[in-house]
Amino acid sequence: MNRRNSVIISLGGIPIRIQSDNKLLVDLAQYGFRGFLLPTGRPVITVSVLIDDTRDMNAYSYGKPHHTSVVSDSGKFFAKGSTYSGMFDILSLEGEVRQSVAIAPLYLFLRFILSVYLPFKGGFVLHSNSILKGGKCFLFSGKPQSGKSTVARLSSNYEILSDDFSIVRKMGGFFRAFGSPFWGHVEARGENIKNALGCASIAGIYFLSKDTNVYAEKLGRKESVFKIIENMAILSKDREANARLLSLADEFACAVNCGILHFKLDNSFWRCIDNA
Amino acid sequence: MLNMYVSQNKEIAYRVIEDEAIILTPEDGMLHNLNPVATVIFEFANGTRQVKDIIEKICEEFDIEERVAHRDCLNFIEDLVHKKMLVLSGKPAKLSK
Repeated sequence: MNRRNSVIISLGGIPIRIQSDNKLLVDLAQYGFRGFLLPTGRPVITVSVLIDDTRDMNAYSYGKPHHTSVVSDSGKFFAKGSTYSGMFDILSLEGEVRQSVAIAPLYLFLRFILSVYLPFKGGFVLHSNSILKGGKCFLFSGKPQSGKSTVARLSSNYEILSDDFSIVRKMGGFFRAFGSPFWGHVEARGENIKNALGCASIAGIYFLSKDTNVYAEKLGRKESVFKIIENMAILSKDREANARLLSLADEFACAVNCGILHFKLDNSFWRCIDNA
Repeated sequence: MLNMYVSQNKEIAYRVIEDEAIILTPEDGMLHNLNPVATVIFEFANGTRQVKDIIEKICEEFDIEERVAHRDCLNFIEDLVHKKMLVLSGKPAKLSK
């Protein structure tokens, strides 16, 4: 593998080297992850990208759910989606992916790596956007079509760290949300997301429910854990990873405000959040 | 069945919150919530205890008639075995040190 063709990025505070014999792929990665480049620094994870031109790029469409199957065996996690197949070794911290020369499959593969690795580092990847308002970070979570991108669009006055998938980690005793390149509708339509290399402490998480009324409904601890796990990006079949996820979800549910946000198509929901 | 040994499925992860177990079954990625009685049954199933031991434990913990505990425990255990959360065996499991 030609290491001169490589770029180092930081996702969730984890330095990752992306390398490939294909220079165009690395150039695409440099552009696609432009908010997350780490000019200096030692990578923790190394991802080698092998080009497979038989992969059907038309299988990938904006806004459609991407199903990834994940199996694990002796510390190796294998993932297969419609546009890529790959492996991540959680012991050596090396990954390898087969895909076409495109950025979208690489986004999906890195999301898979973070989903299996972060639980061992006190974190997880969640179907949610993350929005900074008044120095506090709020997560709005839900499956596709729940309204995450709508909420992000209605919050254009505030800083959006991510609009589709959020990277969450417990650091220094607090749960923090990191800027994320895992874009959804907002980025895809060319609207501006401020992808931040930094992170912000999370004040609350709200699970979205489209409604004709606007109100926030507080969730108990157990219900919150259910909702958090249900909205994890990827669940593997690895018992240890899942045990860590359950533990983290419970800690998270105890640490931040958790609720269901009933909202309509305007930004009046922010009054509920402010009063919570 | 009373003399069968009961153990947890080693593939599943769980956490007890407010006396109720939340279980994540890996095959389907589904979450399951056990009520307090089922949680005691689940946690007591360490592979070295038989079904009859669990029934006795339930009687002690919840102060209920043995007849009722017998019926409910068998129903719970069969249900959890069907959902692959518990495993029945004719031999005791070896406890790890």
